[in-house]
Amino acid sequence: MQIPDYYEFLNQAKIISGKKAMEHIPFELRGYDAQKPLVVTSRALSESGLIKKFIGAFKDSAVTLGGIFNDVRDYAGIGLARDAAFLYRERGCDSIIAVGNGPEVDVAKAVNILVAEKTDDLFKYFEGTPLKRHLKPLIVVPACCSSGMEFTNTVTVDNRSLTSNFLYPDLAVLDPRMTPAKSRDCVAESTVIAMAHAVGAALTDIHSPMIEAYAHSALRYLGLHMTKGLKKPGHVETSLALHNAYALAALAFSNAPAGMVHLLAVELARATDISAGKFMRILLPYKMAHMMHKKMKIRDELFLALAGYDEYAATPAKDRSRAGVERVLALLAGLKGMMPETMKDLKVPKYKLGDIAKAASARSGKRYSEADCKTVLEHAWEGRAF
Amino acid sequence: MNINNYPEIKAGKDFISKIYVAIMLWIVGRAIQAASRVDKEVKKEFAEFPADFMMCMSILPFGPHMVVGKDKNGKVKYMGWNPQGKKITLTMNIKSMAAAMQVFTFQESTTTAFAHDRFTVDGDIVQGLAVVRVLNIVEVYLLPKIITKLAVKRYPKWSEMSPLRKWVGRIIIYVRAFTF
Repeated sequence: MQIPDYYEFLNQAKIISGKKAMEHIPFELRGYDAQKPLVVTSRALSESGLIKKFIGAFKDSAVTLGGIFNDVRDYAGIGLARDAAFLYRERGCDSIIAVGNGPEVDVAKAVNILVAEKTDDLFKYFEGTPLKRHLKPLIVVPACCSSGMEFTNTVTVDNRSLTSNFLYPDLAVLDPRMTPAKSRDCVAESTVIAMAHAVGAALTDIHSPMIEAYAHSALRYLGLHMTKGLKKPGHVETSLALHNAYALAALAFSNAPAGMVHLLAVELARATDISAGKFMRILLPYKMAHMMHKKMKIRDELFLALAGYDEYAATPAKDRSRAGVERVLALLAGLKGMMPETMKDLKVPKYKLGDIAKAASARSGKRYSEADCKTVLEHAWEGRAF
Repeated sequence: MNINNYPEIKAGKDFISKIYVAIMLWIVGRAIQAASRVDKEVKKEFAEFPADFMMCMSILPFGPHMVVGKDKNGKVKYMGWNPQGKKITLTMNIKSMAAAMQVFTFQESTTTAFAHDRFTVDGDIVQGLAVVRVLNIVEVYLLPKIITKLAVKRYPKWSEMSPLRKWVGRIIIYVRAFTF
């Protein structure tokens, strides 16, 4: 067994997962001396009936919901955060519950900064002013198309991101009434994001047993449940297993240096306004092929996580790295027809690739060279093998 | 923005669940009292408790409650539904009415509910676990096997509880629980 390198690891969120998990929220709120949360969600979730189920979970409790702010759509903007913060203050709320996925949670985190820091200037924290204290209790209830990013320590508002350990949610509730997805596309994108993050964390050059444990479990769940989840997006048990995988992958990702796939996908998403998940689907196979091509070490643990002990033990040691990569590619092949496979399909202009590679390399702190980033991007753009 | 578009929502009430759980707690409380006089295992569990033992099982946050304790003569007694003014030595709370319904409709056994963190215990954890064992035995007496199997961790074998002991005990516990 390897000796761990120096590492730090933080998972602040308590996670409650399983049957009737939402009914535990009032008890948990009591632990924070909170009784009046503001709920941040989207109109789509309100109309789908999920918010009705959520409200039903508070029956016979001492909690009063300070308001259901359901104006969030597919974009987290400062205007929404200010409106929700105004509602929070007017109603005398003492905590925040985000029901939904990316944008809803981003708005909730932004509201939390505004109300806890008693300010209207959110962006000063994006420009270097550090968050120095615990914010208000934040509870996250992922619903439908969660990607696990709700569990991370990052907030993205108006396409600007801020990372701080005070931005981790205090409680994450995975309830099987909320997790089933509405469509296969939704599951496809969520699983790809989790896969990219878990693979990135599993292959990071820092040896941290914590990151490895979280990434391993995430990959194991994805390996076991991804195919069924894509076939039956509304299957309750599978969706809960996948949401656990998304959470595990996101926590591994939050504590590991960002992988090349994530960095490039985020830069591409910024440049094109197409979701990062679609780019992760395209880039992940090329990144792995690039690693093989450059004879970089791909840990056997990747294969162990995806295939299980029996198959791992039956495979000769020298073949395990390659087998791990093949497993990832096989899982991604299951997404055929649900997500684009080359950047040409997404009509990404080729001339932008240089700038994107440069920005991703700079954001990695030069861990990835600009040339390597560009090579992966160009192969992915053309759909050309290494 | 018009904040009236986002009204406050007060928690609803589920009277049916509350009444059902209150009745179940009353039955279980009375049955524990009766079983402590009939069943040797229950007797043994309570014998090891201190003389001032008083347990309150509550559903958070507003009840109902069940208080069971030892009286001046050291006999186990159902002390009613109101913990006010009683010197409680062991509090077992079920975190929500939904969790209580899971347990009392036998969708989840008491031991599984403990493992799922649906209970909190304030007091001696050893006594808390003994109470869970007592509840298991009481359920075996009170309920038919097909339901009890859902409610207990492991249904006792013949060698552990003979049918004769079970049926005689069941009749006496039912008579005592519902009469005096």
